[in-house]
Amino acid sequence: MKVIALYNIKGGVGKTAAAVNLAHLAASGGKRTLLCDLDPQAAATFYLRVRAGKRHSAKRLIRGGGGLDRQIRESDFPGLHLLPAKLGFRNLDLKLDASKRSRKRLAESLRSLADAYDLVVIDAPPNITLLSENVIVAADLLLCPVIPTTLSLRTWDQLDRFLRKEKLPRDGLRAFFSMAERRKKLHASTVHETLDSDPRFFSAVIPMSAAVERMGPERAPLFAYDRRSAAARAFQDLWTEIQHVLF
Amino acid sequence: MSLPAVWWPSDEEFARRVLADVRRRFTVVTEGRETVAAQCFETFDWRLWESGLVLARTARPARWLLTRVDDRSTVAREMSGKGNPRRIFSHGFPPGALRDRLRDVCGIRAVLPAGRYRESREFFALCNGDGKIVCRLVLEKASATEPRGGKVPLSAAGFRLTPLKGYSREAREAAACLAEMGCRASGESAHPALLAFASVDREPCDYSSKARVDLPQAIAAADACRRIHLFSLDVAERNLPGISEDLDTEFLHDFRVALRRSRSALSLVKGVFPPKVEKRFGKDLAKIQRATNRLRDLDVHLLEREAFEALLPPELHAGLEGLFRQLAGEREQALRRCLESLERPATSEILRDWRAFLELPADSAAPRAREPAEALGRKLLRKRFRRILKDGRAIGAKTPDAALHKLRLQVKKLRYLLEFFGSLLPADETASFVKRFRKLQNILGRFNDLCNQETWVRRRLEAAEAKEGTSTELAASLGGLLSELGRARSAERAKFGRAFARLDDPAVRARAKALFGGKEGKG
Repeated sequence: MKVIALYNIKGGVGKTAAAVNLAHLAASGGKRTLLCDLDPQAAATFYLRVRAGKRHSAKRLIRGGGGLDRQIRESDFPGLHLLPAKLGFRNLDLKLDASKRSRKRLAESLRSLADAYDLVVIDAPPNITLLSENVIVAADLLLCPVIPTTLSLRTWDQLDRFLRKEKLPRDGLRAFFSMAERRKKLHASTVHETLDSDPRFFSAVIPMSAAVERMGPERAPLFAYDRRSAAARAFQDLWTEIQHVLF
Repeated sequence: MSLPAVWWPSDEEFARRVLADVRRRFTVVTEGRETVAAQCFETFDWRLWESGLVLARTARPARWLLTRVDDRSTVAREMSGKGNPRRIFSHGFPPGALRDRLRDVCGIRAVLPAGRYRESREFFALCNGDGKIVCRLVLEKASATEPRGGKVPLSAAGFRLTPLKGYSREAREAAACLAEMGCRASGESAHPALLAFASVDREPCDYSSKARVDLPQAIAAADACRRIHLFSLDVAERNLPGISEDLDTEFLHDFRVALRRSRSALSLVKGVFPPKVEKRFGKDLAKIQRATNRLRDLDVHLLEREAFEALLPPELHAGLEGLFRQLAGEREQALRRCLESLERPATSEILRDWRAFLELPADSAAPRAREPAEALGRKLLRKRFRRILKDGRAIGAKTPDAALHKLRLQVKKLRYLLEFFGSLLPADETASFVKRFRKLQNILGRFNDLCNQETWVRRRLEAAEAKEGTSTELAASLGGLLSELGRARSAERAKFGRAFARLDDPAVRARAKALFGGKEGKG
């Protein structure tokens, strides 16, 4: 079982859309995939039309095993399952803080599902907390969506520095450009320069796209209603690159 | 809690009503449908089904599909041509996995059309208020179709309910809804090929040439023999249409084996029927069989082609080509003669009279009619076994071949007796006894075949040499064959001593004594 975590300190960078679409692509390719929504805003959960069970809680998430397995919901798409998010996840940090081996709890919890899934895709909340550290430890690929702007690139550097400072694993740290606008000169030059200088960036660039925005009203992954847009093709390319790195 | 996967309504109309009710409780989205029309093919003796396989040809796309009976997974597939074949041999399929598998399973038997079916599946998604799918429902329908596409009154319809993980409560609701409407929960659905078979009045394994008549323990000899003969007569009659249509060689083979079995029973188990009956039918059945001899001989020789080619170096194959062409021509003629004879009123009269006699209530006029079959069987088996030991021991390295042929016939008679009375003897011990015999039987059988082949090839060679203008190629091939066959025959004969010793062994004799009783085996 491999774990991909979509993570950025900054919000609104197209993280959830990427998590849902990459998980959907993996499942359509035959990988038993679990999309793990850890963001209390529960956007991924909403996209897949799922509601979390009443008994679902931060405690169950940390414990793993059968109790966690019972909270998993099968999506409408073959091979794609979802662990829904709950508002209660906002207290995850406190729960984690109170437990032993507090940085490794999420990794251990996910390991209890290793027989059932080939891939776990985590949609992580945007901040730097103990939960983020858990996500970083659990991930084989820590995938950071970056908007080609100065501010967004700054948070990418911050993340890198944070990992170094906290002696967290950096081998799996990779990024890709998200919500790029071809018509903006600044976007184009930032993409160009960064791809040349930073090998940790995947070369697929996800464009700013109305098709992706439609995921909200459609409540479905992009590929369920659109396969031809530039964004759909870019996600497909990104997934191909990821597979080369991960499998 | 796991839910039953398949639910059976009685028919399609009922299924539609159930679906309407499901729609009242769930938002139902139709996800699509698929229809498959297929024609089944099977050997007359169910070799595919017995190997857990179904062969079907689908119309669109036109292809062959070999699937497993249990989970319906695909074993092999191949593009199919058009046309309406009445039979296909494995070598008639395009080279590939399908042909290889069919050759292994069907051997020299042809696959024959065995009915058609049409199967359709409609896919439905049951959704909750959020538009989220909570379980899936597939309406599966299968029906047998007539060759012209019309429906025959054989069909099945069922729902397959697949819960989605995390939505077991909703799946239970859907299952309850099906149950309330009167659907019956069941295990896996039956293969639609069964409907196709039924539409042509067939049922898996409804034919087997293997004689195993289950006799009740206390049965009287005459009754036992009647059952044995009736079984053989059924087998013989069921093969007649296949012989007429010349579908494959095994129809005639099974027909002949059935006749021979009955003739052996008549001569081996004397005194259970009135002497007149034994005499008349012994003669009449032999007459029918004689009319098929020539055709069977030619079938055997034609089937030997591969084996003959394997014996000869490739440069001598050319001579065989002409020989087998000639044989095929002769076979045409032999088939015509054989069919003329089988279709004669006299033949059907014999079979009809024979059946009429066998179906009559038992009469006890014959001297051994009322003897218990079990005791009689043991006595006959004992006698035969003693005879085999005596004859076998007399065979040495220099004994003429004729003695081995005689012994083969003795062994064959013992095998027939075991087939007749086997069900009255303890199964395990009989099986292990038969196993001991098999090796010897195989060696004697093979030895006999080689002798026959040699004689036949020699005759062909003599005839070829007598005729002017015979190609030297043919003479060379036949000459080559003759020496190879002679070598193979000697090799087979050399194996006899050891195989017989395996049988003439204190342990086997003790087993025979336990099985057949008496003092046999001390011989």
